[in-house]
Amino acid sequence: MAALESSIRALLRPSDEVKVVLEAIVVNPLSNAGTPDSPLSPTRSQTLDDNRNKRILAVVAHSDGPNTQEEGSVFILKSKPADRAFDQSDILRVFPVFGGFSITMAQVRRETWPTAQSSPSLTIKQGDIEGLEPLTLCTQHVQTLRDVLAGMQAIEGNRRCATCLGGPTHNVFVAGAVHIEACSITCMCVFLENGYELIYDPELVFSVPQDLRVAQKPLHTRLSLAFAGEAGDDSTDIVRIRDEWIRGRVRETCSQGKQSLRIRIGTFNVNGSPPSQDLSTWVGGNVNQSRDTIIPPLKEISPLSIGEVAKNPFDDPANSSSAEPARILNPELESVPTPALDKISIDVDADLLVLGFQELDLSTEALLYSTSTFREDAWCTAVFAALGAQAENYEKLVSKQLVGILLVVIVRKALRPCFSEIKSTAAGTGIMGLMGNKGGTAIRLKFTPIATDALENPGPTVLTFVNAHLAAFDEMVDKRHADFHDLTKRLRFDLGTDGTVPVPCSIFESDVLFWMIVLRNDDGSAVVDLNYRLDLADADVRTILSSEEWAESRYETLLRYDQLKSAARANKAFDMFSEGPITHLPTYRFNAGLLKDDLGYDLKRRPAWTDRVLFTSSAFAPIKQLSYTSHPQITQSDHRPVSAEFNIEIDLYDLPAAEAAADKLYRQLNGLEDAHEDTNARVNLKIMNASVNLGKVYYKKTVTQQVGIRNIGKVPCAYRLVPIDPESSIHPDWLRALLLPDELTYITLTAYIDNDSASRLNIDHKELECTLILHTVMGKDHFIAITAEYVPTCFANRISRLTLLPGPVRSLKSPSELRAEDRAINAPREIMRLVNWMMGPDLNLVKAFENVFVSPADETAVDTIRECLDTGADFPFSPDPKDDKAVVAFGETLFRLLDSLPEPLIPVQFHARCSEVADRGEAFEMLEVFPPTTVNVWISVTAFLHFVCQSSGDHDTKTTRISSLFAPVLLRDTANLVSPVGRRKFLLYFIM
Amino acid sequence: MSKQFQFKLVLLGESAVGKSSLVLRFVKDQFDDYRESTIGAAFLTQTVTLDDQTTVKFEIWDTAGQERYKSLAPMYYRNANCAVVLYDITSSATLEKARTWIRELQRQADPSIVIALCGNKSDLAARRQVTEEEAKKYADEEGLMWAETSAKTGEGVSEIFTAIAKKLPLTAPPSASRAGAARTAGRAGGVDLNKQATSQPGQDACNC
Repeated sequence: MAALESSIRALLRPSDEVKVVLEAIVVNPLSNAGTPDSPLSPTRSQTLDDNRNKRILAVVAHSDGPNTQEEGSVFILKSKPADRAFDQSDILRVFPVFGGFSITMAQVRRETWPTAQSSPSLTIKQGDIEGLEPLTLCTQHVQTLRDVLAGMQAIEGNRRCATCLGGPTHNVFVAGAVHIEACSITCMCVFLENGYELIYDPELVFSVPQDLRVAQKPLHTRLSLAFAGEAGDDSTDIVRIRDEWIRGRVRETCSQGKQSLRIRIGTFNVNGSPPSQDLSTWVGGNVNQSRDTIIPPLKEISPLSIGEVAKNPFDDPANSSSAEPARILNPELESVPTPALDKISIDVDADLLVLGFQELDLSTEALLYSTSTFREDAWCTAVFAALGAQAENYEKLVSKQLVGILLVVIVRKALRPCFSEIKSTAAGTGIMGLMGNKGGTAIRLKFTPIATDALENPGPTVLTFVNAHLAAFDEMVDKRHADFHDLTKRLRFDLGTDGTVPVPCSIFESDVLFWMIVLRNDDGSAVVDLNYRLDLADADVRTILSSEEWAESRYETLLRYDQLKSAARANKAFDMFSEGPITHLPTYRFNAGLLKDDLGYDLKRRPAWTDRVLFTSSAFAPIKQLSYTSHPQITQSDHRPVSAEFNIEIDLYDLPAAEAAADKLYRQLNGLEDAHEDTNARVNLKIMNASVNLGKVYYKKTVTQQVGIRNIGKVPCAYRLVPIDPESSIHPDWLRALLLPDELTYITLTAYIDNDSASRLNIDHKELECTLILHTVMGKDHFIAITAEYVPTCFANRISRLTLLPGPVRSLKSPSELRAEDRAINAPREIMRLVNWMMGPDLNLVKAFENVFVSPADETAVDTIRECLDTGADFPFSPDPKDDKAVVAFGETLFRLLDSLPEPLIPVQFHARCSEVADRGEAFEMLEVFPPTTVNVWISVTAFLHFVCQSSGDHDTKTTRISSLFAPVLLRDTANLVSPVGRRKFLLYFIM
Repeated sequence: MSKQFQFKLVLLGESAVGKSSLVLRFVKDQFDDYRESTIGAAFLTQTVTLDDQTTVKFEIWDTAGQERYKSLAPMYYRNANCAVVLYDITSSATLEKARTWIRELQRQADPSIVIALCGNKSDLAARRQVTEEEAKKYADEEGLMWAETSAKTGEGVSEIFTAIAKKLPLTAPPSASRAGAARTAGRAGGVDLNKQATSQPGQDACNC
């Protein structure tokens, strides 16, 4: 292509620049285009092979120097063999970019054009020049075609302020009159106003889904850098905002409901073993839910109610808790309580079974040579056998193997016709970055719902599955992230049907994307090991996994050290993926021999979750995870297989209707980009309330208010919020969108004081103030002044500050009223009030504490208690041994107050020593080194907890529960530096 | 061939001295008797043609005068090539405010900034509180341009902008207007700002 470019450049003046070159084939017969006999050949091969139909399309820009405007033309040239230079007679036509110039794109269907199915065609018109007929070309270079369009847009953007540079002499362009002086060509590109139109073909908008990496980033993060006084690159932003808006609006208006697609994903590292065991639990699952199961939305869960976390949160969807998959970044969401489920009989109800195998073949040759279907048949047979009677309803759709990495897609026969454009790819990242011992395979499917009378042409949804075996996830952090990114780049699907001219497509250009992944080192050591950033002793890991007292917080505790999650948190890799809550034991490494612990894990390898299923999807195909579990019954490998079941809500929409809607919207928004031509008048927004007072805002109480924005101008208007300078943030994630003329929208302002804000604001910030800058794209900046009054709380204060308060926190008028350091009180009165109330004589009954720290607390009561602590008012509850609602609320309030302390009760510098104490005596000796306030609070709180444990009917369970709840709070360790086992033991010395 | 220069101009001054009206008169030659107070910052452009076929395009930021938005003003006058500080001749308090703005600009804005002090509402000379002598004397002491204008009648409006245009460093490359250049390049290309910066030397001026 470079040779082609330079060959074309030889025809031009030095000031002309070849922007893009595209090879294409003429579709419409061009008797007047310089090829005397080029009627469209009847067959595909003739057409494709006929050099007379081949054309070179070149976008040429011209600029006369720094003070002139760039202009452009589209040249159509005869195709030449690579070694032959172009001469002037090869220029068949020139379309100047001005006036009535337009490019229309369309998808060429197989019936009308016998080339690659996905070849787009483009029609170039220069409407107002007589004798210059439209030209339709077809190309397979989709990416280059995009570049052509981008080139056109660039020229079009420049055109706006251009004036006439030369007289139009149109007739030289008449087809056939090819002897033009090249130097004169660009001078004829006269730029007129209001004619140029780049028509977006809606079908193209739908043919390839938006890249998920882009789709998942909030739009405002994809806009140009802008801030007060610097509007940014409005013309680029406007296109992004518009396209996003149209995409959303089209699907919204054309949606005809949803269709569920049930997908079961399995991943199994077989360690070279052939199939030898029954796979039915893995393939079919032993838990079955009815198809119309709806999992309720995520509820905020009290940290006090994580009690039943050891059970699989997917097990009972009828329970009010949620199995909404947590973003990898939010491990805390994984602690979800559920009671056990009455298990139902085995039944397979997946529409698609997608199974990933790794290490099918461990022989040395296999690392080097691809033995394409090694053991695939054996494993498929085993899978179908496992389906039992259901097997006849399924068939294998496609598979892809790379050495030992195999990905198989099995489909329910009834849905087979829904799948088309089935593509697969593979990429090795092993030895020399190429060999197949490590790497991945991927399969891409287009799912089109079955047409009905109501929905004759349903639009497709693209599903992509990746099975990856990643190498060297060890301390060479950069290398392993590079491997992940390398794989995401190299796994590309060729969408061209004949394969001669690849149309590459990324795995992310999809609506739904699943990753099955094994993370392991070559030497067999686990890579998602629990050693990340912490020397969490091997013994600690095994203790937490096996001992009963860790049952409640086992997974939560260990997953804090998970490497995959850490990588995601640090945005190093996998940050865009979600993963369901892990509630199964680590899947690696099991040992059949003697060197194993009680759970069967190899004594030499720290157990780890090496086998994972991750997913991500666009807004049009929301995914619900229904299960995520390992299958310890299948013991033939040193890994245990993992399965995960998902429900995808496929958007049902009529494709032609959506295309028409998109087209209509594009027309409606026509002029958006030109709006700035007359900035001074046309774009006009009115902020209905430019000054917002949110009133009093309380700790952890949401306050919302809306700001109305009306477009009072005559053209569509885009707006966004911009920060005051490049370094600051806009404030939270405010929305931005398009407004049609006369349309009214609202920005919702939400104030929420969390622990971090409270700990800052408590010091001395009662008046909250900020100004939002709402930038109208290509228009003015509007200010929205926001004020609120912060009402201080005793929560989220340092212990030392609480002891300096002269009275309740609300009565403090200014920091000068705080007590002198030497007159500090012994312990914060708020903590003591809570403990004293609960330790009062009336509650000295066994029953009263049974539900404390177990049942969820009444939120209103908790709020009331906190308000009383803040104001100093008496608690409106009297101890009642028969009704434990108040006691539960007091317990919860105490827990939350301790949890809200900006620094843990026991200062971080003592944690290591605390975790190392060997007996009760040493533990009590630690009290001598703690600050006096800490000692006072520690003694009161642990005495109370001790009392609660002692008064329980089930002493041991209660102690276990309380220690697993309070140890991470009283000895909070955000940096994961100190053994969780040691910290817990320290607390147990005091409450046992 | 004519030359075009582009400069960023910011309007500052007490609330209700007529900043937006002055811009409206300059840009569209219009006047509203009742204008809502500006809450925000409006961006407008107007081109002045000088005698020698040189044109100067002003990118004007008309800022809010209200005290509560004062903290945002520095964002709008950074990188400004010129500033018009307005006062109302019928209110001496507004001249005091103008002095404050001028001190702030001298301290914090680009040292090469051209500042014009402008006494607006000259049509209300009957209620004058600020004499021409007083304002002129202050402007001379500080080395500022000075004029009286009336956005209502149009008196002196285009003159002051033309005078500013002449005073701006037209010999220097317009890249002095950094903000302006970036803005233009962004709009013209619409594809890749960085790429354009290297491939199109002509991005600074839009000469058409």
